[in-house]
Amino acid sequence: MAETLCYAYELNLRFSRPAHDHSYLLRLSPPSNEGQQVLEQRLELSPSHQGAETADAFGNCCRYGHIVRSHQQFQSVAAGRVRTGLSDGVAEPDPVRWGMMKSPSPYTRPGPHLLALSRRLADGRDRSPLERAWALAQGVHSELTYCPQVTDPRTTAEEALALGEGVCQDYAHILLALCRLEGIPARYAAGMLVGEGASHAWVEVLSQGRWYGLDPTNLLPVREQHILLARGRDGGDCPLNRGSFLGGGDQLQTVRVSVHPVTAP
Amino acid sequence: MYEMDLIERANSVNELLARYGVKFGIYKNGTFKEQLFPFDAIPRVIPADEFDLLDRGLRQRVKALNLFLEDIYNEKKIVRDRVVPEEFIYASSGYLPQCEGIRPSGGVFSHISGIDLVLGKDGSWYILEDNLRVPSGASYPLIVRDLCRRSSPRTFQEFHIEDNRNYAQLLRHTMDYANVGGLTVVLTPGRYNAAYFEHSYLAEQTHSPLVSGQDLVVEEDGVYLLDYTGKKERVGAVYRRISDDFLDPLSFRPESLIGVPGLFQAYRKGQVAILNAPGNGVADDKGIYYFVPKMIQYYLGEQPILSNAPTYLPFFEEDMKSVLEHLDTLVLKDVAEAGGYGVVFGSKMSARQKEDFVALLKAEPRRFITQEVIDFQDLDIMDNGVRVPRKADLRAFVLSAEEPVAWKSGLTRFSRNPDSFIVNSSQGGGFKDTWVLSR
Repeated sequence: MAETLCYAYELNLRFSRPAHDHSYLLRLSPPSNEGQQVLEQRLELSPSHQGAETADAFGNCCRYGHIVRSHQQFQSVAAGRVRTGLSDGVAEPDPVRWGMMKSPSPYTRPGPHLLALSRRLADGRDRSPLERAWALAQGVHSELTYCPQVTDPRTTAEEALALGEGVCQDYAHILLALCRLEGIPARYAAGMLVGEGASHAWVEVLSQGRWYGLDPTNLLPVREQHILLARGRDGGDCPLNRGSFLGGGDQLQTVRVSVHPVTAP
Repeated sequence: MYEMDLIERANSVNELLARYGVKFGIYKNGTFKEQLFPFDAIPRVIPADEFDLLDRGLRQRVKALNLFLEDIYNEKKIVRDRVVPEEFIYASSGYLPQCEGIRPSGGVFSHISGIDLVLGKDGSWYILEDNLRVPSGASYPLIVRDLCRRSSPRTFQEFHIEDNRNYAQLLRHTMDYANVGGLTVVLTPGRYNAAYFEHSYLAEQTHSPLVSGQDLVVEEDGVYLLDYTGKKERVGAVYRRISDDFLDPLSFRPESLIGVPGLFQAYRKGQVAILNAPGNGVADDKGIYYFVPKMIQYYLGEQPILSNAPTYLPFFEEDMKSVLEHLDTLVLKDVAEAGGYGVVFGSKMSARQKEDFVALLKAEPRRFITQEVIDFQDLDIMDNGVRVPRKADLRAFVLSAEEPVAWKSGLTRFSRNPDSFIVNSSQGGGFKDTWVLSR
């Protein structure tokens, strides 16, 4: 059922020595679509900076800019309220536009482990793409143990599967690879899940003209508990934050996300 | 022979090339070595009527390739009409999803195209590959012509040779046509790049500042060049000699230190032109090459004037069968590799290598194209005072502004090794001037 969620995403980057000429690119503005409606949102930076807005190739809203003056800390806080769970899936008027979601991408290229897992899960290919994707998601879920700090954002699906451990991004990458091996169009989704912690990632598959979200980490359909921020072929296409700067010495980055249902007044 | 005077002076031309720093850098066993790009004074001569055919064929091909790029990053008509299977586009390492929806200023994607051809023993030209990313090499015949004219003015009085020194004007016009308002700069990764000589030479010839990534800064409304006094000047076009991957650490490889953070977003918004457009690699992919004649028919409704080398795609079952039957007569190319790497001749493989290759081919059919080995005409070179025949190709340059224009010259590369068919400069070959006769 539909729900109203309030969210806060806080990125903190601390430098041991001052950094300057800091360029940033943030994908922290949730889009409104058939499934979720943004009621209110803001994005504040420190040092305070206006920056510019643009939509990337996947339609994700990006904020980017260049801070010249030196600073010891870079902080960005995105917060707002989103109405979620408004529909079961999102209609796709033009599937040809998303042909790239059927081909391997840099983080989902299959190797021997993925090919072997794909063969082991080969039963039941006659079902609808969505049913098939759920069967694959269950396969991924039982294959992988959730374990933070074993992998990093540059770990590929093949590497994570070989390790047998990973986080939501790895679950998503492996599921993407398996779907694409069977010709099911599948895209990576980055966003937030109800609760406290880090950002989240899941998969959307195209089935009978609609995109459906599947969360392989929690074996949950993507409905009212998820807020979408950005999409891509894989995590490399739509990082939530990217930066580049001069100076800075050592850096310490923390991300804190909190999402809660708004209780009715 | 008519070019005797020039040949006698070849050593002095080579000495001048060395003095001007006309070098080519290569990586061998992990270390960077700069070496001279050996010049051979016997020119490749193309008669006027023969070049006329090349000219029409090259312009036609580049026109179709530009339309293909615009189409696949926008409407995708050629996919919808099933002329090119979509997996060939999306599995190509040159396809950049980040470029979806972009129409560059003036509608040009491939501003400078380097088309590699060979002349067959049957007298016809065959296209070997298209280079639409950052094709290098125009500066070599350009500077060497100048040096040859000075060393042997007589030669150039006696023969009616098209002057190739208009390359700078053609390039400048191409830059100006793409420019959205502001300076045009040449962006180099620096002096350790294989083609650094060319970057500096073309910047000088087109009167454009030669800059590195840290000289440019992206602000909300566009791209600026910072000079040493801190003064900022608006940039309207970037002739970048950096590959797509390294162009902008915010949108592509995050570890890139030679790119410009934010440049790609400014480009997306139309605040700056990038020559050549990012994402062009999808059209010069070795797998897409097979489809270029079909593109010409599809977009232009014309028959291709220049032929591809006969090519098979093991991806198609029928082609796979004939490839397995005729492996010995074919050259096998890995679509992911460039610069003469990943090219194997079927006839030179051992039985064991063949077995391994066939297994790989069956596992990843999309990864390879196979071509018949073209029996191409050798060109003579001077080897320690003796005239000997060597394999050679031609890189023709086509510059696109309002319409594509083929430059009346080109880079002729030859293999110094008599047994080798691979002429790439990164594999240690040499070069010749290319004379197009004016009548």
